[in-house]
Amino acid sequence: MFRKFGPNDIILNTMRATPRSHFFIYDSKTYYNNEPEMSSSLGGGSQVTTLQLNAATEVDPVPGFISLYEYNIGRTSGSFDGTYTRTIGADGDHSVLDGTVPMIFPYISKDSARASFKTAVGGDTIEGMTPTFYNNEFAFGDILTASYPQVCTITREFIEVPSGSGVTATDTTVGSHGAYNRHYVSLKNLFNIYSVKSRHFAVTSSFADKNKQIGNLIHVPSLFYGTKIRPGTLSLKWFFTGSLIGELRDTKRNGELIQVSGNADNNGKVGGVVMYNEGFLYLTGSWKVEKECPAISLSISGTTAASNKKHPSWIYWGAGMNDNVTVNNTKNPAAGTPGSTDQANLLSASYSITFEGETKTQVMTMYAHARRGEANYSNNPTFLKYGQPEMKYTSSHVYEENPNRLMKNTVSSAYGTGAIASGYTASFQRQVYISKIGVYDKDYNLIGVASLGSPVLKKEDEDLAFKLKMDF
Amino acid sequence: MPVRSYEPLSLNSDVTTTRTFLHEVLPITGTIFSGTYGKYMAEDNIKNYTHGMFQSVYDYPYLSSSTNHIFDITCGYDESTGPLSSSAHPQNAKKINMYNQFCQVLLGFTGSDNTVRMFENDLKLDQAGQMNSAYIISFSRLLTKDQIKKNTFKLTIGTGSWKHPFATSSVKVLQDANARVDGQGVNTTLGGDYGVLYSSSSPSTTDVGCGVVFYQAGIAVITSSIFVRGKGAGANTPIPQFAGPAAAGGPMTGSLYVSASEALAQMSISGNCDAIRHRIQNIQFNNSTEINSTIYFCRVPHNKFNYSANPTYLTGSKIRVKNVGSDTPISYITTVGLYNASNELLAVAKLSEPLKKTPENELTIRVRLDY
Repeated sequence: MFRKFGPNDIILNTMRATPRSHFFIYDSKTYYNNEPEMSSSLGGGSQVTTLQLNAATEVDPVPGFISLYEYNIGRTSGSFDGTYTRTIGADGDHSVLDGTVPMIFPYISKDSARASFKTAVGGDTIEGMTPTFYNNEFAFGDILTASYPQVCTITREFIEVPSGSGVTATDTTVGSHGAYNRHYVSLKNLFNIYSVKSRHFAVTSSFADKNKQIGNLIHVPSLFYGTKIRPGTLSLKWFFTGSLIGELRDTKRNGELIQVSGNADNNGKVGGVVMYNEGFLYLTGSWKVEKECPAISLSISGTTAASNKKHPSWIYWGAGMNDNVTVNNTKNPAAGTPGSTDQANLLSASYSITFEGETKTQVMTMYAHARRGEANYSNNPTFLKYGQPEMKYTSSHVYEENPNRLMKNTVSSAYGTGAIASGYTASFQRQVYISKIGVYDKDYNLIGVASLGSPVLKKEDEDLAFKLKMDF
Repeated sequence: MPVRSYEPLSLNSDVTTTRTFLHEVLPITGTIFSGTYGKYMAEDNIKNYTHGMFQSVYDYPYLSSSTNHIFDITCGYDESTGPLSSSAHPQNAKKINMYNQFCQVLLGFTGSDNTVRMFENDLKLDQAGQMNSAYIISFSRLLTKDQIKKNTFKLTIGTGSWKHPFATSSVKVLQDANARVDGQGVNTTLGGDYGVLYSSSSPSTTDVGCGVVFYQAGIAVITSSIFVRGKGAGANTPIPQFAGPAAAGGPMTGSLYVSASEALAQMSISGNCDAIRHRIQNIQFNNSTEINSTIYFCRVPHNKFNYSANPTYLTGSKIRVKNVGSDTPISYITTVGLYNASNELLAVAKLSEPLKKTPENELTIRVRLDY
C-alpha cells in the first residue's frame, strides 16, 4: 500500500550541535575529556581506543587521542602469518594465546583508478603519498597498505623563528635571513585576512611584528570541533602546582584571547588569537602570568637546565603537549618521584583548554500517515485465521480464492485470560500492528526501511502519524 | 574572492566512472575471545542472552563504549538427526530452529514439499553429503563490510583432547582453498556466494569439505564431524574429550568428558559455544568494500585561468607575481569547483599544492569523487 508524501510531510532541517572538548595537560601527557589512561590485558600496556603507543617505546600508551577506527582495540603489532601458540593454564580452565594480536589494516591494489591512501608503506618507510612516491615505488597490481588506528590529538608547536625574511645581518632578535617556520608562514595570509576582525591578528601592526615574535602555535584537529570552534567558549588555563595562575578567554568573540585572571597588571591584555574556522591558536603573550611564580623548566632549546627555565607565560602554555617537551629533556628532571617539592621542573606546570565546537547535520524528517480507514490490512499469513481453505475452486480453467476467509481476531479481552479467566473473547475489530514503514521513490523502488522498536497497534478508526528522521 | 570561470564538462569525454575494492586484513586470534577478559566462560567480552539461542563475542568487555561486536556463535542440528534430536535434550527445539533458520535464509527450500535445504559439504546442492549438525559463526557487518574476500578465509581449530586441543597434528586449518575472486570454486544461492572449507590448502578432488563460508552474508558453517580422530587406532570415531567437565575447567556438568555429538545433545547452546571458543586458535580473513568513483577531467586551456581575483594577487594595483609589465600573466590554481547546469556550486576539490598556470601551459586536473 503506497501513500504519497504531501507537501508538508517532508521537512529538511539543519541540526546544530556544540560538542564540548576539554584537554588537560600534565607531565607531557594530554588527557581528553578527563579520560584516564587505559590499557587492556593483552600483553603489557597495549593500546585501547583513544590511545596511541609511545613512538619511542612502542609499548607505553599515550592518552589524549581520538580514534577514527576503533577496530584495533587492545591489539598489538605482530605477524599475520605467524604460528599462534595457545596454552592451557595449569588448572585447565584458562586458555590464552601468547598475547600476539596483529593489527587490522587496509590495503588496495594499484590500478587505473589510481586510488591510494594518503599515507602508504613503501620499503621500510611510511610516507605521504606524493605523486612521485606513488609513481616510482608502486607498479600496477602492487599492494598499497595503510595502517590503523588513525588517530589525532591536539599539539603544541613552539616557534622561535617565525619568519626571518627581511631580517638584516645585524638583527639578532630572530634567526638568520631566510629562516622560517612553514606552519607560521602558511598562516600569514589568514592572519592578515582576519585582521579586519581585530588588529591583533595582523602580522605587522602597531602592537607587534609577528615575524619576529616568539609564537606558541596550538593545532586543534577539526575532529574535535566540527565546522568551527564556537566563539566565546574558549578558555586556556595555566596551573602552577595545581593552583590557577592565569586564564585566557575569547570574551569578545572576535578571536582575541584576553587574559581574564592572573597578574592583575596584565589582565585585559591580548595573549594571542584564535582562528575559529581553522582550529589554530597562536599565543604571543610573553609577560609573566603570575608575578610571584618562579621560573620552571619549560623549554628544551637551551643547553643547560638553567637556560631552560622560563617564567610561566602564554608562549610556554602547553609545554609538554605532544611537542617533545618532557621532564627529562628540559635537563631538569624531577627530583625523585612525581610530587617532589622541586617546583622548578616541568611537573609543577599543568594546563587546560576547553572549547565548544559546532557541527551541522542535515536532517530529513518525513511524516508517514496511516489515516483512519486506511492501512488496516496485512499480507502477513498469520493475519488470517489458521486452517481456512485457501481456494474455493480450482481446475485447469479456473482458480478462485476462497472469498470467505476470516481475519484472526487479535483484540485482547480482559476476561479471556489471567486469574479471572472465564473464556470470553473480545468482539471482533479490524486492527493491525504496524512494524515497518518502507520509503519508496517515484518509481516504487524501495529506498529505505524504518523499523519500529515495537509494533504499534493501529485500529480502524484511528489516525496515526509516524515521524521518520534521517541524518546525513 | 577568487575568479569564477566556468569550463563546461562534456559527459562523453570528460566524465568517467571507476570502481575500486578496498580490503582489510582481519586477524581474529583466539586471544580476543577466550580467556583474556576474565575467567574462561565468564569473560566480560562474551554475552549470553536469556533466550539462549546464540552467544555474542566482542573484542573488549561489552559494557564498554569502546567495544566492537566481532561475531555471534551458535550451533544446531536438523530435526531428523538421530540421536541428537530428542525432546529430552536441553534446548532441542532451539537447536533445530537455529539450524533451520540459517538453512532457510542461506539455502532456501527444495523439493515439491518445500523442505528446508540442508548445508552440504560441497557445492553441488544435491542433498548428498549433508552437514546435519553444525556450529555457525555469524560475523559482524563491521568486519565483513560488503563481503569476505574469497580465498582468504582461514579458521584454525584444535581437535585434540579438552586439555590439549592444539596438540601436534590436532590442529586443522579450515580454508576456502578452492574459491577464487573470479567466481571459480564457489556456488551462488539464496544467501549469496559460498565456498567450501577444506582442511587442506590444496584439496584433492576426493577431499571432503569441513564446512562452508557465505561471503556476502559473512557466515561460516562448521560441521561437527571435524571433531573425529585422525589416522590410526579409532580413526574416524569422535574424539571423546570434546568438552570437559567443570572440574577440568570445562562447560560440561558432572564429571564426564563428552564427544562433540554428546555435547550437542546434552549441553545447552551456550555450553557448546564455550566449548568451541576454547578450541578456536585463529580466524583470519580479508574483507572487501566497493568504492565507486566518478572522475571529472577538468581541462584548463592555455588561454584561460591565468588571472586571479584573490586580494593578495594585486599589490599597489600591480600583479604581484609579475616583475615587469610585459611579463605574461601567471596564476596559481588551488581549488576546483564543480557546478551544476544552473551554475550552483556543488562540490569543491582542493589541490594539495598550488599549480602554476601561465598562457604557455595547459592542465588537466583529475577530480575524483568517491561514494
